[in-house]
Order: sequence, then C-alpha cells, then structure tokens
Amino acid sequence: MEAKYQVTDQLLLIYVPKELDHHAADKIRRETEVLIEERDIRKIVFDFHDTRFMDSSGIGMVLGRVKKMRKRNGSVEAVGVTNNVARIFVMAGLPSVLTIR
Amino acid sequence: MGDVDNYMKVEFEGISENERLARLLVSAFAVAFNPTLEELEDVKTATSEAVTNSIIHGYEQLGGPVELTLEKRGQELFLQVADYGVGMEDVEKAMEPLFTTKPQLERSGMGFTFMEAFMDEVKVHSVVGKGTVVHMKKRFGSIGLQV
Repeated sequence: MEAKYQVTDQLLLIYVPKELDHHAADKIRRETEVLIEERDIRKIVFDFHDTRFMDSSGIGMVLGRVKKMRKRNGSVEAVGVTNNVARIFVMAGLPSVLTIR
Repeated sequence: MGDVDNYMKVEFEGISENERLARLLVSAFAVAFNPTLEELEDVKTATSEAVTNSIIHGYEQLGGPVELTLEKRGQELFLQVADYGVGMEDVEKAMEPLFTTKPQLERSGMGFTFMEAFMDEVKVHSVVGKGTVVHMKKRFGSIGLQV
C-alpha cells in the first residue's frame, strides 16, 4: 500500500500507509519534498488511521517534516494514531513536538 | 538455554523492500509461541530495526546479503540478523539513544534503543570491513509459566 497525498491551499494531508518502515518513510520523504516547496505548504497532517506498524524510520521521517515546517513557520499534526503506533510515538517523545489528535 | 525446538535460516538481498519480508517471516515463525499482539509487535519492530540498519549502514543502500536466523528454544526466541557490510568501529556509541551517523537521511538514532526496549537481550558484534551481527532474545509469556 502506498502513501496518498491531498493538498488544500497550504495544507498537505498525508495518508500514511499500513506499514511505515524505512521503505515507506523514504518514499514519503522524496514525494513530499517537491510538493512542500511548490505548493508553499505551511501545515502537514499525517493521517495514521490505516497504519498498523511503525518503527524508528517512521519517527525520523515525521521529525524531519516537523523541522521543515518549523523553518517555514508552519505546523504538523497527527491524527488516527492507534495502539501500536501510539506506543512508538510515546517512546520517541513525539507528543512533545507535534499535536496528536 | 534449552534445546532447539525449531529453527529457520533465510538469506535475502539487503534492499528496503525486504524489510517487510523480514517482518513477515518473523511473525510467521513466532506464531508457534502463541504470542500476544504486543509480543508480536515487539519482535517485528526489533527485526525491522536490525534489518534496516544492515541495509542503510551495513551496505550503505547498495545491497548485499542479509541473513536472518530464528531459533525456538521452549518459550524463547533467538533472533539473529547478520550482514557482511562495513561494520562499526564503536558499537557502544552506535547504541546510544539518538546517536546516528546519517542525520542527512533523517535517521532518528533510535534503532538500537527500540531493539533494547522490545527484546529481553540485545548483543552486537561488529568488525570494521567485515560486517555486523545482532543477536536478540525474546521470552514469550509470563516468566516461569509453562504452556
């Protein structure tokens, strides 16, 4: 399953795939790079509703987007974070750097 | 250490597509432990971290053989991930939380931290220019409980 993207004005919504590992994280990083610049994105929302697996590569990718949005005075949110993903989020301290709904 | 009830040894190409394959193999093998969902997630995450390390650091994303060995001894799983890549000079440093040699690739430096958090034992042997082996152990079920 691949990540899907939706841009509304300066908001980028990323539908995170079922498994967010190094393979998927790298793909999202590459695919959003151009989008963020071209569409002048100021807010990223990660939708984790379908995501059942995430490892430290996913953490790195999310943190990378947080840094990027900070540079642009933007923000990052995560929605639909479920059990296993939530566990990884908490262990990595993500709740202190982005909004989780 | 008990006798080996079952084992599996697989070699695959060190490319990112195979991170998922490694997790599937470990999940399938671990079914014999009658694991809880959390235990299954633990071993999947630890496997993913070790295999990703081999792919990104061991082989610097140029590919190479990764060996995954699984052993069942009673309620204990012995999991080994080996590569013949560049190896590490300072294993202790590499295992420090948030330490990474590849920040440009947005590596979080939490790989070993997760392995240590999710498994009961993690040992790393590495030789520069020869490769790295990560040995991990996971005990399934409550301690002392025989199923």
